Amino acid sequence: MQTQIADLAMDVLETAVVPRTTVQAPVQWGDDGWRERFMHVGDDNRAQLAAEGAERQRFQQEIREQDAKAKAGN
Amino acid sequence: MAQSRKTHRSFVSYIDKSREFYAAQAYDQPYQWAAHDDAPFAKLSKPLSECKIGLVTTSYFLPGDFEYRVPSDLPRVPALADRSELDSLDNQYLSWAKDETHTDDLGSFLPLAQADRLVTEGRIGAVSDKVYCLPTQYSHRQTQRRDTPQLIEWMKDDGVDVAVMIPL
Repeated sequence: MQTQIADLAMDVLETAVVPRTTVQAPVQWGDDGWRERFMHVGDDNRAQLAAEGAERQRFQQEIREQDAKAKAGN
Repeated sequence: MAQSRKTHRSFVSYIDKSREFYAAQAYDQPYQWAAHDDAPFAKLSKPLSECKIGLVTTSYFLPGDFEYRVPSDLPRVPALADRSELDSLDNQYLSWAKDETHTDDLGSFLPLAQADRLVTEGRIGAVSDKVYCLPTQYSHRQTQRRDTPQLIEWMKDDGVDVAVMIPL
């Protein structure tokens, strides 16, 4: 498959005559399950994502305060 | 392949999905996607079989003592790598479909072996000994005004005629 895609990329380099030339490789995942799983937001993980977001914001605030303290100390 | 009776395949809207995914994690501002009215185009100035190819990846190197805290901490700077250094390329903090695939196979996201084959077969003239790392940035300005010009300079120094980018 890697050989096929690399060859196809070289074909595009040689044959494209306009910007934004797009060629779709004739390969697909074995099934379509990834479409739903990719960046999934649903009732099953909404609370977990929100908790992760809150944790990130708490952490960023901590970093900001540390930076401000370091600046004030200089 | 799953059995289905659709008349056509629909695309997954990455922009919509990512906006909702990040909003669910309390990011306040939706990401502003780049939109260009036109795009430059340059045909090859010589046959591909005489061209030197440079591979560009969005993967990058982390310092040995790097400790991950939040995404904004990642040292997102362009880098020039020797082919021999690639073992320390680090992808774990990048956003990719980790439920579906892995990056254990270097060839799946950085096709150096394929490039070597294309050289052997005479399809391309040469492949650069260097790999060019262009980390994804939240800031379009950094990509356009800082990182890309740096990569172009490095590639010119290395005599690269064609850049092939493989985003991870």
